[in-house]
Amino acid sequence: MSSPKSAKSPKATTSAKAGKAVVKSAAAPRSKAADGEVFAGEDKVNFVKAIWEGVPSKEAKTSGGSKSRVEETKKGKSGKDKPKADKAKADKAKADKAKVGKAKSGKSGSDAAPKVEILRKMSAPVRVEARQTPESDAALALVATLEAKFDAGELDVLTPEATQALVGVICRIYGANQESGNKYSLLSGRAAISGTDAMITCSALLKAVDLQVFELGMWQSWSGI
Amino acid sequence: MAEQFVGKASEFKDGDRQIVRIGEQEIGIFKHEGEFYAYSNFCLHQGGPACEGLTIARVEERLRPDKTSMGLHFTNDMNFVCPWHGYEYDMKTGEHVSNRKLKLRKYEIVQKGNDVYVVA
Ligand code: FES
Repeated sequence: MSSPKSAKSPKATTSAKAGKAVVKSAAAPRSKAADGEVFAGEDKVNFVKAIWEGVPSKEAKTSGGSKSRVEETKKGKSGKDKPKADKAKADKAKADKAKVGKAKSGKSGSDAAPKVEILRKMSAPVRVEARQTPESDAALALVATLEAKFDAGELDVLTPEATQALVGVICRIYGANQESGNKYSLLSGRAAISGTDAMITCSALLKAVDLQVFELGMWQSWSGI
Repeated sequence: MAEQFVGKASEFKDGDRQIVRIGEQEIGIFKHEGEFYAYSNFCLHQGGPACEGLTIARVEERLRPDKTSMGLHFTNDMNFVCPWHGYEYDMKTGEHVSNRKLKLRKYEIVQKGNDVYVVA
């Protein structure tokens, strides 16, 4: 570690002051990434966490995995300016203390048991018993008739107005059921319609309500639907 | 590693989940078929909220002896899906379903009476 440090940053090496040591150790992984080395998964996690939670304070800056990130942060709080060996000793002493009993709400705060914070509670989807209604029977009978005629080659079995009315009411009924927690699949089987049919219909639906595909993607990732 | 109280078992219905932060760790706790499971909420792909997406039955493609497809089917195994880009994890093990070497960190759950603890 010492040679790349001295080669990298003349500023950092000129001073042996406490804060500089942190600057030096943080510079090393950055230079690795700049050399085109693999941007490891743990670093990605750090990056994403930094975006979500803000950049941590100087002493908390480390580049380990999630477990080591916690440990490194604790180290940083107590002995950021000590050499590594001293830090390891201090950690061992801390671990021993912790074994004896959860420290008397230590001054540094790092000895205290971490607090549990409930971020989100997510309920299981509600299952609603299907109710057979006369309208469902009528709809199934209508579908059977339409399918028979369509299979016989009658493409214009429904007028555009009738098609629009049917698609509109199906969207509203399906959307409202999904939102109220009565979730079910829109189609009874994968073979009910072709992929092309699905894409044409989805595209037309988005266009009809003036939505772009990227808006749909964003909404899906936010809502988890 | 210490046991951290995260809730009452009676407050979890089957299929419920809870996301908690313990220190710097974010953990998703699931109740599935009467059992509790707890995994790191940091996705192995790009750190997304792995435990907050859909839960969905695993999809399997069944093949005939000559390797032609008999179609896709849902199995009884449950997965949860990272909402960012769709990494799918096995509910019972935390493994990525198509690359079992990738595995979310699993936390032990201890149940004492009605109290549920995560070891973290
Ligand atoms: S971050 Fe989870 S799938 Fe990409």
